[in-house]
Amino acid sequence: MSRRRLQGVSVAVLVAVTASLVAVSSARTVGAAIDVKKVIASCKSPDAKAGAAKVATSKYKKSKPWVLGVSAGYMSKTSWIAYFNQELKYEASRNKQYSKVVVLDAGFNASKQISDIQDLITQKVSGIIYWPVNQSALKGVLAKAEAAGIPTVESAIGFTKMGTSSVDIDYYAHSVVADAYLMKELGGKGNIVQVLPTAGSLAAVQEKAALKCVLKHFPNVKLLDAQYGNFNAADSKPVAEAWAQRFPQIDGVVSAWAEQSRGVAQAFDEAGRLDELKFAPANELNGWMKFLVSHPKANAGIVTSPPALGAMAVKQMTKILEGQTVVKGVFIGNRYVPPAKVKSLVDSSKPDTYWPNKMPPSFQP
Amino acid sequence: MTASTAVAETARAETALKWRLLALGQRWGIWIVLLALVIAARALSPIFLNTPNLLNILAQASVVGIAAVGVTFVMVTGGMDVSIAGVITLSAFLAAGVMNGQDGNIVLAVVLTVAAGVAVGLVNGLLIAFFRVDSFILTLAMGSVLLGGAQIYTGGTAFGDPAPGYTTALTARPWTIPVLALAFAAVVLVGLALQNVTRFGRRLYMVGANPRAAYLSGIGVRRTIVLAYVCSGVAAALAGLALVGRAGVPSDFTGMGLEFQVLAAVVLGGTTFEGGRGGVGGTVAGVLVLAVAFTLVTILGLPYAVQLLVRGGIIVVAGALYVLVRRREG
Repeated sequence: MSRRRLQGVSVAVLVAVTASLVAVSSARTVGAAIDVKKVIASCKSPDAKAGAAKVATSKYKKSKPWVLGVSAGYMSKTSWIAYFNQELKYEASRNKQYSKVVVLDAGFNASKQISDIQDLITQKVSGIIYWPVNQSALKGVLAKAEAAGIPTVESAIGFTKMGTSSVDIDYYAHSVVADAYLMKELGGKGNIVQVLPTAGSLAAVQEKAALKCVLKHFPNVKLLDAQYGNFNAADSKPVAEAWAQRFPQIDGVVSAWAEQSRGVAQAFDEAGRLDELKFAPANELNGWMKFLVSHPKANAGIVTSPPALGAMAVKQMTKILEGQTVVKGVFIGNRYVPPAKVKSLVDSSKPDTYWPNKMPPSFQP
Repeated sequence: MTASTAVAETARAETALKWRLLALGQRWGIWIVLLALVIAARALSPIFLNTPNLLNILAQASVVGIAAVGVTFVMVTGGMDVSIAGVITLSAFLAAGVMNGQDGNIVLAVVLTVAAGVAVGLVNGLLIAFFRVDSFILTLAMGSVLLGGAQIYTGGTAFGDPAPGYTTALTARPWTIPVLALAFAAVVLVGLALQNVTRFGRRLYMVGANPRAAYLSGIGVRRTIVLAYVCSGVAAALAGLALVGRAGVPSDFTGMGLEFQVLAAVVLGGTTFEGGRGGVGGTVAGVLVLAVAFTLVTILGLPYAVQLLVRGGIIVVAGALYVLVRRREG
């Protein structure tokens, strides 16, 4: 065999081997069973370590009865926050150590929230649970609260490491679970789009990062576009209408929040393309679950983000006021419910804005 | 014909053409701007002129458009109505709350919602016409009162349950045309009829141009102003009904910021704050200019921050072009 021919054969063999290796690594997720737990385990939440740190709270121990202050950054964004607030009040009402709950609503006004917290400090409340309009704006006033011996528990906004402690949904972990199960439903291939919540929010930042990590395991999944849905259908619908025009083939929608997902579903239904889509597991809004049950092709299950977070925030505050050592961040939710089990969570007698809960009728929003 | 006569004839013809073009510009200026914008959009995005996309734009524009028709009447009289966001929000909650997920409640919900719009318009109109309260201050305060009322009614949360039949009807597309686009068209036709065919329409302009002269001419100035605000209230209520149909369960975010979009559309369309000029036709073009700007940035898939910049830029350029095309007399 001539030297030139030998070189040609060597190159051909090398190319063939390389191509085979590439095909094998692709087949790792395409066609092969997708190990969702492995994907989830590989995308660790950036908040897990910081959340595990211990916080000594003996300096906040107070004699009973306690007065609980609540500084709400907003009360009217979604139905979820209303249920969260009611869960908080319900838990406080059940705990006889609390004589009173003072709730101040800043109505999306960051300056007002600073004034609200200052008012609560002046009123000498025992502890403050808050969810911020703008977390960095509260840094100074939260420091004043702690200097005055008033512990603060942050909730419902994601773990910002501010305040004495935090009880929250881990948005990163929540999204990793949702995205991983969507990939499983898609068989590890296809085109996806992503609906993020409010631009600039912690949730949006973490959801973007979570999807980026999950997609590393699925080279045959292509992210076509990511836009903001602001947690509501009115904003996500026009975005989805544009997608329906731009992209001839979309297989999956990444959206962790049911109200946004509804807007996308409506848009694609009107475009006659709803049957193409699988929706990433969103949270357990009654109306969304009704939709999933009636549209099995779109159903990839749900991932919970229970409003009972409000009750957990009160329990965490109770531990602090008792002087117990607590962790910096308590994370709840993120429980995956497979498609077949979604039906068991639906309450068809309740409105679409209902969130499953165990509160008595007097506390239902 | 002598040479000087020929030159004079040519000059006269040129002047006549110039005035005809100016008149065209004043009448159709915003439509020319809209056409230019659509051509630019098509150049940037090949799918922009697809029929489904154009129909989506009409459906998306319907909420702002329906409300803008009512606000046009108010602004032609020289007044202003910034309470529309409050009316739209309260209407959406009221409609969803009364329907409560039952198709049998649809008619009652629609009647009550429109009645609420009439009531708000009546209160606004009476206070402005008879007590001479400044329209901007009063309607700003009214908007705040209505948002507070909505919070009390709903407990401060996403509230109510639109009837399935209602949302199915409003999201339907008979002959591929969205029902909301048809509703928008119907409101525009009614608005144009009121403006051009009725005495009320003519009185709007007289009151806006010179209220004192209108009064001395025997025109019921106060009645005209009250009716204009009632029209605005009804239109905002209809916009709230449209919003519930389009987006489902309302929240306090529902109407947020819509008053600025509506005012921008009306002013872009040639109805000025001074009153006495403009009209529904121009408002429709203004609404469509905004809708094209909003849709184009989404269709192009621009990053969010760039979307905000580009949207604002399109509106500034459209407004500037319109002024150039219009060229006010004197």
